[in-house]
Amino acid sequence: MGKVASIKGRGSSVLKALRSIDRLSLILVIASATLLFVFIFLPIFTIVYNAFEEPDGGIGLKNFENFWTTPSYLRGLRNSVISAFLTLALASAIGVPVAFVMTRYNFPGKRIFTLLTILPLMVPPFVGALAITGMLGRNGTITNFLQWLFQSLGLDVALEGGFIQPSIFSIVFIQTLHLWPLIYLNTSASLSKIDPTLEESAKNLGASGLKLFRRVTLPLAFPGFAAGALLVFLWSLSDLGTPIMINFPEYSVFQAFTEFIIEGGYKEIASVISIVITAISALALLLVTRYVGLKEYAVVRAGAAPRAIQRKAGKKLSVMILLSLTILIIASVIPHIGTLIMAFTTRPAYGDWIPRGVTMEYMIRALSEESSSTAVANSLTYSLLASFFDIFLGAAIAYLLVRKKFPGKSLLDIVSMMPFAIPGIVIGLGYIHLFSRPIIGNFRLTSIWFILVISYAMRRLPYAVRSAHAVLQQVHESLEEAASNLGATKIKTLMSITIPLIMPGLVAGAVLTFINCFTEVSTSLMLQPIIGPFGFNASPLALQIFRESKGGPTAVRVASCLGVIQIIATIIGLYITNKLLGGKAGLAFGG
Amino acid sequence: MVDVKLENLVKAFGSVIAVDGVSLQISKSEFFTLLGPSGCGKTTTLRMIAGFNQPDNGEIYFNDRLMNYVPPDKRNTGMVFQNYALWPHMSVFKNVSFGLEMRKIPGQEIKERVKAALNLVGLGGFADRTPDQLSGGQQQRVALARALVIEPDVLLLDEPLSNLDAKLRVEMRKEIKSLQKKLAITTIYVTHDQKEALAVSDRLAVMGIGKIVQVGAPSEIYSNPKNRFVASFIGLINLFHGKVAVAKEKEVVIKTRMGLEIVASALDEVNTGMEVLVAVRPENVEVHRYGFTHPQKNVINGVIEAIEYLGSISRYSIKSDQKIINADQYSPEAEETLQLGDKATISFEREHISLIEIL
Repeated sequence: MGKVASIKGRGSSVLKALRSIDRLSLILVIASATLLFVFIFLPIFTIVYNAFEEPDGGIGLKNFENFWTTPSYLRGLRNSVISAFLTLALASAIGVPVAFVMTRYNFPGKRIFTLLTILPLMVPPFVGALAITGMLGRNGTITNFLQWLFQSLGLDVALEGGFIQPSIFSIVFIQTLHLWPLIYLNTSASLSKIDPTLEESAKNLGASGLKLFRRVTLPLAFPGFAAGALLVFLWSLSDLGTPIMINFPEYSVFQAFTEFIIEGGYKEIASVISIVITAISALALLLVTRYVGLKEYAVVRAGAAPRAIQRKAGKKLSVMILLSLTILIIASVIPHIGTLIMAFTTRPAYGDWIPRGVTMEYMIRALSEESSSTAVANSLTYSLLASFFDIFLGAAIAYLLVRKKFPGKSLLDIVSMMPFAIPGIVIGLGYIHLFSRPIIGNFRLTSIWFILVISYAMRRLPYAVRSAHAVLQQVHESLEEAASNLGATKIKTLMSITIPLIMPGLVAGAVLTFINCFTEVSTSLMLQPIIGPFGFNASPLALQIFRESKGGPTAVRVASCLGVIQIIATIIGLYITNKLLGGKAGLAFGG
Repeated sequence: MVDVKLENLVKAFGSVIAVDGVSLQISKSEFFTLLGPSGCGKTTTLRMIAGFNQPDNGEIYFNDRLMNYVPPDKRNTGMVFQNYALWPHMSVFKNVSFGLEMRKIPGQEIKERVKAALNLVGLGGFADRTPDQLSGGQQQRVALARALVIEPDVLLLDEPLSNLDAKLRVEMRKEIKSLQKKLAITTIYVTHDQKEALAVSDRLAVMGIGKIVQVGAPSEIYSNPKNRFVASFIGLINLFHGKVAVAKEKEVVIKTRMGLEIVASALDEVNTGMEVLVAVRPENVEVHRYGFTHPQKNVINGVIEAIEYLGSISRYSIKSDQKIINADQYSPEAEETLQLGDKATISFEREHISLIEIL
């Protein structure tokens, strides 16, 4: 009998489990658990605590009571939820048919449209909202053009305030234009993965047309659609940029922001609103994961469908498809054109729509004025650092989740996924509550720019973990075992086998993280550290754009130029990921 | 070269006991096979020898050195994985040289040894290719070269041929066997394919649900299966359940449940009243016209239920009292006059019977 081993066999199962992890993994577990605890769990916990702190001291439900009895907060909540659902419905009404047409039909010009359909994702929503207001708002280019058109046609229509009013519908319009590709990409990813024989066998058994679609195709494509729908819903619910840009105050996230940021605001109500919005998000996430599973939503691929199930569209159908897609794309590039017009043309007289000429004046100003050029440099610095940070933390957590067994594993999984359902404003709020206490003398963590890097990294962590998870799963464990069998130590195996194999996927994920941090809005507006990496200006791009957009007409143009810089960075980033992932744009947008 | 000793190895995954008290002794230079259906614990046993799984109980010795707590990278075993596990980001040369680099062998020697190893497996000109430019058989050879080049103390092969097509499988197993003999390396081979196991092994262990059922040379296991599991796992076999009616010095008479009397050559451990399985291989059963008799042979009458033409042989299935008995006849010798549905008589010799005691 085994004497040594039988002694080892005793002891509690937790101890045994702990002993079975190697030292490297143990260090990784402790390090990542500490980071997640301090920078995700604690901030959220602090907000929850703050929500129960009554204005006159003591703990109670007073703040919640105030929330439920104040009509404007309830209207804000109602508006948030309604616009999230409307955006979802509208984005689905566009995205699902486009996905079906793009995966199932061949028609002339399809390749071009495949490229064009991801255009909306290239304009950061904040910038898009600014441009749409500039085009369709009061004194906007399109508004003025239409006014001129009606006048010359002798019609008596007054477009005084423009089309973009501070209303739910403007919010839904702006969000839908930006978000419908998320539904399209996710649904088509699912649709193109459907094994053609599944549909063929249904046809063989007598199903066809709508019945086939409803009974077989739709249920099979549902996971992808649900993943996209979740992204859109959460995105819309937590959107701060759009309501700020169109100045629509009765919107929950905006209310929380305002109450917190203004002097003498009702700070506790901001925490209550945060909790309510987070709860709705978490509920949506739970519902979807219950029916779909966690893996589906992190990585969206814009790959082509297998050839076998694609049908050639007839003449009539082709014309219809091309016409609808063209209208859709024209509507979708309003933000792009608007941004370009605002950035590079001279402002016409009030009420006029024809630009007076092309100019680099605003761009030169954007790049030479210290406040804005510093903001560009700041955002570059923050985004680079945050993506580096996420590569390592994401890879470490994914490695533990994929390869190791240890107590608390599912907890690590859940906490690292939490930021997915937590609106950026909530993270920002939590950081302020937790880290704005003076540490030494008057020094606070929230005073220094690094807090933005941490907040960006934590917000994007779920995506980093998921993309590392996906690449790691493709690396079979036997590849590591083979190295170990031939004499490589744990570290050596990691360095010479695992990391080289997962590097392209990790870098692609990091580039996406970079894009998203470079265009991040919520925490950028919430946390306003004083000390930057290049002096006493820590503003990231989003904050600078926000400030400029609230300035005079020329400042708005400078804001658009900063938007152009974000767009250029986004396009370069997408191009790099596309190359790294071999033609498949791994898009993991959201938030 | 080392000998390998496993003592009472136990390994559980959660509540599933994968390996349940396995003890084995594998000699120096022996080609030893672990054979069993999937889930029998053979791969887990191999992985414990390689060090990828830590036994819950029991010991592993290489030459009397306790290996339990030696990490996998210090065991000097060469393993060939079922999926080959070639590194896609390295050339064939780099894949093979990896183990030598880990051992800090000087560059010039690495070059020579990799070249020799690749020549040994017949892939001399393939050093600069990447794994995805190779066929399945070639990948298999690279995996073999990679395991052999480090001159391992033990060669571990985990279902190495299961991803190859049937023809290549037969070819490769011959090559592996001859390489093993040439290098005289202690080898442990895991497979679920009984033909493969019989063909390559010096000795083999049949495993079932975590336990070793029988250990022996291939011929021994084939002709004298210890129990019903081994008998039916290794090749096709006819089994008759019965009781020993007479146990004399030279012969044993068994009365089967169907009321047949079968006479077998005497085996020493058989007593009257013992419950046994009478086992006869189909190739030892002859088919005759109905009414055939022979004083020295066992004869059973029945009806031909099926005739399968299998090339060199034809397999007859004869039904007698609800029991199907299989008989393989060399095709030219088969009595062509016998047709499906005909009555027929089968016979088998006393010497071809093995008795399996039912405990």
